[in-house]
Amino acid sequence: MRAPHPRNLPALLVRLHEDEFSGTVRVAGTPGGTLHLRDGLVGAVETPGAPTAASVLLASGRIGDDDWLAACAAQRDEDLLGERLVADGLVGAAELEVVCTAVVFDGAFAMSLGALGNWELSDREPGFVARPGVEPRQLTDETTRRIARLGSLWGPASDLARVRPVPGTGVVEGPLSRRHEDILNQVNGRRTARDIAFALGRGLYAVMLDLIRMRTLGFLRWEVPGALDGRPSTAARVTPGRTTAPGPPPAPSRTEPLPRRVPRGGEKGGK
Amino acid sequence: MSTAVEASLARFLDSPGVTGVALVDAVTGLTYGVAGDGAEAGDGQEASDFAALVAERLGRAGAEGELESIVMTSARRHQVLVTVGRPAGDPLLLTAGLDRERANLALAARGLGELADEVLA
Amino acid sequence: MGPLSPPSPLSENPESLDPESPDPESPEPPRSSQLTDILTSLRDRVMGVSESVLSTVDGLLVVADADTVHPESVAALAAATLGVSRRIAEQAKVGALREVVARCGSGYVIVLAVGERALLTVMGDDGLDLAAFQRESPATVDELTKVLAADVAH
Repeated sequence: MRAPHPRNLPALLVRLHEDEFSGTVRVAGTPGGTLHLRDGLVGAVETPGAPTAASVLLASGRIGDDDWLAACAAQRDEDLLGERLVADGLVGAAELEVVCTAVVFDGAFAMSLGALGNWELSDREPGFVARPGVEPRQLTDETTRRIARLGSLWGPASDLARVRPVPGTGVVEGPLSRRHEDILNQVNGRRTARDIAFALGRGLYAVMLDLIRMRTLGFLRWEVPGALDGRPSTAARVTPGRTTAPGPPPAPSRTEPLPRRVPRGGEKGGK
Repeated sequence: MSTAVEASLARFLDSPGVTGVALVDAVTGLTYGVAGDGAEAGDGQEASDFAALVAERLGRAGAEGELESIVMTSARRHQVLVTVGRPAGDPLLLTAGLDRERANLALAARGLGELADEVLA
Repeated sequence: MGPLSPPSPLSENPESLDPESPDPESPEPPRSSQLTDILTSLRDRVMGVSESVLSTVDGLLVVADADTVHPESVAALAAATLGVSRRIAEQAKVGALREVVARCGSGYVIVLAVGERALLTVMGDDGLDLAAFQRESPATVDELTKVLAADVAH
């Protein structure tokens, strides 16, 4: 018997990898999430913080609702749903693998932005899983890398998760790519990166990177909301109920405004 | 265990001079799979950063349409980045390392471009 | 699902969709901003909540934290939804109705009773944190009920 309790989620996943665990890990938290493991590899992450493979395929329009429901009805074990979709010719095997792998990394990243609580292991529950799945250490390393990258491009990822961008007003540089245009159509001062990711069926991290770039180019702007401590005040906003409200006023505990970060030129080249 | 992406990428190694090839997310830089020598294929993050930079500069310079491919050449090797067509979702990149001695660049670039559209099948 | 107990089940006939029916109280300021803040706060606290509409049981709009929906239409439909759902709950003999959750292709619509005279309709996306919603919505309903009660009291 080894140490009775892994000290954190990455340590737990490494342990489960060693044990070739197949089953479900439910993690409490805000938002927390559920990880589906198969033979020690992470096959799927379900969290309110980022779209699942199903959300991505449906919201992006890659698979139609009717086709999806028909495939679900034909294949009752969700673990085998992917094979069904490929067999039905709705999506390519490699393409599905790309989608399922991307959302595992994205879900883990989204979970890492919030507080994580206790976890609970249970038997295998059917899930729409990536095959073969992602090695836990790779997942942890990539999550760390993403947070560091956002940190160098803009600032703390958990702050970026709470911003609600609005369209820019100033001079913009260069033409708007299709991808950026799709984001611009979603941006209205109410939606966070997570909300935009769900609306477009894209990854949270990918949307965050695009938001940072679009801000640099002048297409977007935002203010960082004050610390919320989980439960924001319900005190009257400056402009109650209007969609232009950029966010709640800064919490009184904060004596100085948050620094505005300017993305470093670096390899992106700047202007 | 070979994944569907890796199996799909393995085909590229049949082209003369291709030493390594990888499928990379053009936005996040995540590498989805590698065939052959991963170091030859190059780092996914660097490839996606570079492709994004080039695409943006081309756009600003007035080029229309999406970026198709980038070829970089050094004394001994070529590095090729090819945009992978995708029905929906964020763009992908195929990154390949080529041995200059063995590869005919024009042929290889065309071959990669043609195969790139089948990589997701 | 946690045990949810709204302040009380609806006791009025909520079938009237007639927007001309007399409004019991004028739903205008000073309290509307207070109500809107409660709705905004719910959106801040529960991931995936995108919009919400507070309406009277007879289908009139009180306030909305709306983005893409037409609040007046949602108000009218919420009254009809809760009314029909109450009746099917009675018919099925499964106890008093607590809330109506419509799960759709890319999101959720949830209708809750707020006291005896009002309804809260919440729209969420595909990733709606249902657990957090179940945890937070009773407090939201409670706060709304208090403000609305003060509305009547004056």
